[in-house]
Amino acid sequence: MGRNPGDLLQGTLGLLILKALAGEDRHGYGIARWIEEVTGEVLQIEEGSLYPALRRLEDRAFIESRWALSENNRRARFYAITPAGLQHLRADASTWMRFAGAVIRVLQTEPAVV
Amino acid sequence: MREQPRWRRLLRFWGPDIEADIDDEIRFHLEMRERDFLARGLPPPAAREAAVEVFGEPEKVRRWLRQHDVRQLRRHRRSETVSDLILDVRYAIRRLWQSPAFTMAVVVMLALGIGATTAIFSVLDAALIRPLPYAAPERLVAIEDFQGQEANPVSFPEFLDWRSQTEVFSGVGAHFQTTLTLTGAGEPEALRGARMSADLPRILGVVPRAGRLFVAGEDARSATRVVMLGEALWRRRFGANPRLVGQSITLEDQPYTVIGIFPAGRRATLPHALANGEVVDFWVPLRLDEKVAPRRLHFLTVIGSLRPGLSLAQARGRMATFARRLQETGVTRHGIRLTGLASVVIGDSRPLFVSLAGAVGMLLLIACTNVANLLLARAAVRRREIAIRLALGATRGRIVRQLLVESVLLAVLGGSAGVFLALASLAGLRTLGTLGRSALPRLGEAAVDGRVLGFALVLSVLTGLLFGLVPALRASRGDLSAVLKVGERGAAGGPASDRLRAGLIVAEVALSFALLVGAGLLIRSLGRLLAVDKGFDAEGVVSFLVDLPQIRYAEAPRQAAFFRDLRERLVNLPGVQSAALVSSLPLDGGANGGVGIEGRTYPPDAQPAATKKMASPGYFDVLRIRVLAGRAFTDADVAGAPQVVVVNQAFAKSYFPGESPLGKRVDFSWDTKGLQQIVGVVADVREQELNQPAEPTIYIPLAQRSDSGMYAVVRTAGEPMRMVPSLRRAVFAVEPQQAITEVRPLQEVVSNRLAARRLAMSLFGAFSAIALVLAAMGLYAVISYSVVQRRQDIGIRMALGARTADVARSVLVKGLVLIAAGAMAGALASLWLGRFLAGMVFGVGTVDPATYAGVGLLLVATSVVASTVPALRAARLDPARVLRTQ
Repeated sequence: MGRNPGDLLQGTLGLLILKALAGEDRHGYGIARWIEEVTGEVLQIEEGSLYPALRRLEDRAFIESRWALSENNRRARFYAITPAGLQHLRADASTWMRFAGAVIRVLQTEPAVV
Repeated sequence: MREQPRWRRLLRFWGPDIEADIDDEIRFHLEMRERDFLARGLPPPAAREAAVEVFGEPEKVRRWLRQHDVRQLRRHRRSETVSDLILDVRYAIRRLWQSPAFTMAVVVMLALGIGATTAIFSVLDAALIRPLPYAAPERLVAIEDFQGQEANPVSFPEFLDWRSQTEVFSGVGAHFQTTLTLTGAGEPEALRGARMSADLPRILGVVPRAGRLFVAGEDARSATRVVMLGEALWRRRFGANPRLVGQSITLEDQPYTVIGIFPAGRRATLPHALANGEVVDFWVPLRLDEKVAPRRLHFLTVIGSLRPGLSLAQARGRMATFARRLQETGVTRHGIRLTGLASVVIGDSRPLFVSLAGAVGMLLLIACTNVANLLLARAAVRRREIAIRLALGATRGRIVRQLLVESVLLAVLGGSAGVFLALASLAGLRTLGTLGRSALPRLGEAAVDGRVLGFALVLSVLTGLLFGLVPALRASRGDLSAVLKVGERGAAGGPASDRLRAGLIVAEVALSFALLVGAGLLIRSLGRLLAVDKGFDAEGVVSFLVDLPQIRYAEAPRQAAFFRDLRERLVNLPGVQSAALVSSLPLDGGANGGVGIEGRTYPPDAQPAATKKMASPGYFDVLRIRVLAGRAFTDADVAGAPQVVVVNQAFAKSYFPGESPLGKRVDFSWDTKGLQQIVGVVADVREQELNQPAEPTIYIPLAQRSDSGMYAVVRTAGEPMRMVPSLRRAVFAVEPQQAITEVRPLQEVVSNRLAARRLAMSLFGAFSAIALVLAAMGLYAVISYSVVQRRQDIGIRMALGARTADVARSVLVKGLVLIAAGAMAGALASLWLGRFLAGMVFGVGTVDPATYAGVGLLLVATSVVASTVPALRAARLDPARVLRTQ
């Protein structure tokens, strides 16, 4: 790894997945695509690591999965967020926002570095 | 997104295919990504490579997912089984709650069966399974003096001989029971205790509660007097004073230094006390030498601890060699016997335990049979419900499991109730078993503890499976259409089920028959024993032991004078008809030894022997022992007068067949000198056991050969125990501070001898009574069920002109046929089972026709009682109504 700035955020992959599923149910590839699109391809995750992360979220009952047909009529495993997942997403997101805000404030102090 | 087609889901009916799912998921991802790259204009091979690169390492991810998914699936399946079981249990509880009468009946039956079995198990566990409560109990052996066929107490020199065998034993200890009077602190009190060699407590592994154990040398004749007190006495008499150790107390007028307190626990309980539950208040060292305890005095109990690594067989071999060497060198002619201490403690109670275990097992089987029968009836009623569930797709295994869960639940309920029953019956057993002498060895150790609870739990579950399996299998084997077609009427389960239920009843009756025969034999044996001519009359006689202090009453004349005075005072008490003194009570044994007869010589192995007892004048009179020839003792038979003896009839018959023994002279070494003339012959008295004929016995006048301990026997006009205070005063009048012990009606000595038999009889009686009630309940259930089931046939028969009496009779006959078949099977079983009671019956054969006939009659009566109600119900059927409900 270590190819792009997205690596910094590997630890927050779970958060991104939950956010991806908050709007609608998606399959693994769909989640990867959504993250790319929303971040303007700044956050490029290593796609293989998506699946263990999905399993861990499923184990914690934040998401559930089922088999269905994809937009091009292929059999695919779809993931959906559960109420518990939604709650977790909210809590984590607000923590993250506060943390990110704090970091931004630190970086904006004089002397400016950005 | 649409649902996938149904057939794909059907393929996964048997659970997810993990491998294929993972492959599908990853392949889908890679192909989608490849398509994207193609759309962006990459050439096909590059698009594929790019897709893989963006993904990372597909193989690694696949492996991780596979591991994860397999683990999750397993976890899931486990929790599914558990939650299914919880569902089954909930369902079973609901079903049982809905039929409280059925549930209660079954729980009560099982509680009786499991409770009785658990109680008996706790007793067996204490006696036979649990090791003795000592350190290294498996190495402890009883060492006995062995002559001919008989094991005897041990003499002091023998004990010393054996103790020298240090390559066989790591320790050898000896003790005997004794009584000492405690004075100085409050009322004088006769304490029961033991004299022992200094190392015995260490051999048993006793840890003192306070102070120390005896040390080597403290048991020597010249050693200063020390004593260890029991914790119970220390608390009762000395208020658990911690400073008592080191102080001096007065026993038999002698100062004894208290060196330690032995704990109340079982480890400090001497083997004989373990067996009979006797209380031991003190330990004192033997303080013997060969001069005061010569080889001919046999009075010690000896316990050895085998050297580690030495087996009992090896030890026996070495001691046999040792005994031969002693015989060759002329030291002694006696042999040596080694027995595991645990089996000595159990003694001859093993047959009792085996038969109790068998009886209670049979009772449990009867309870199971009965419950199985009830379950069969219930299953028949539920066939519709089960058939419908089968039709709705439940598997047979699922239904069997559900029914088994129900029966195991019933069994566990019954078992829990049974444990309370066991606790109660164990308490009852203790009271019953410890009246006087303990009837069951180590009963005091029996307790409902973790082991016994575990046993009850396992027993309950097994019981539940045992009585539940057949009904469950039967109920689930539904021919659906048949059941649903015939509806409620056909719910009976058909002739096969009838046969099975009839078979169960027959088995139950057979088992009850066997139990009743056992109880009957024991009751008859006890009756025969009570009717035995004991040779004496214990009614209205009170007895007590007077043990004179050895120091003040060292010489025979002083002892004789004391007892003469005592007898005089006792005889003159108001309310006393007669009184006498004797060295040992009837049925309490006596000293046995060889006897020489003037003018005769016998080969060494045919030497005449007799039980010897010292008796005061009036003894035969008090116990109403008939004088058959010659005379009884008089006040003239004193020390200076000609030496005389009285013999019993067995002695006369054995050694003077066809001639009168009167005037003949005998000679025996028992602190007597010279020849003694036989002046009388008295009737035989059972001296050992009620079921053993009298042995040859010699009575010696108390005044000519006294001892420090004598039993007084006093025949009173009224209730014997009412006299005790005035008896005590009479003793005090002769010797202040003289305690008396073992105060009891003589009748109690007789009943103690019967305690084990009474206990066995009561238990068999209780078991067979329960069995009879259960059998009656089972029979009632089966008969009334068959009446309900055949009410249409009966209705038709009555409509066609059958009289009510015919109907009732046919029902009664049905019950009688079942009982007769069961009784036959039971009689056959009893013929074989009788052998286990062979050691416990007396005066009747184990195949006693009267008992068999009595039990048969009892069962017939039971069957009539049990079938009467259903028979009447059948007879009262209104044919019109029955046929209308058709």
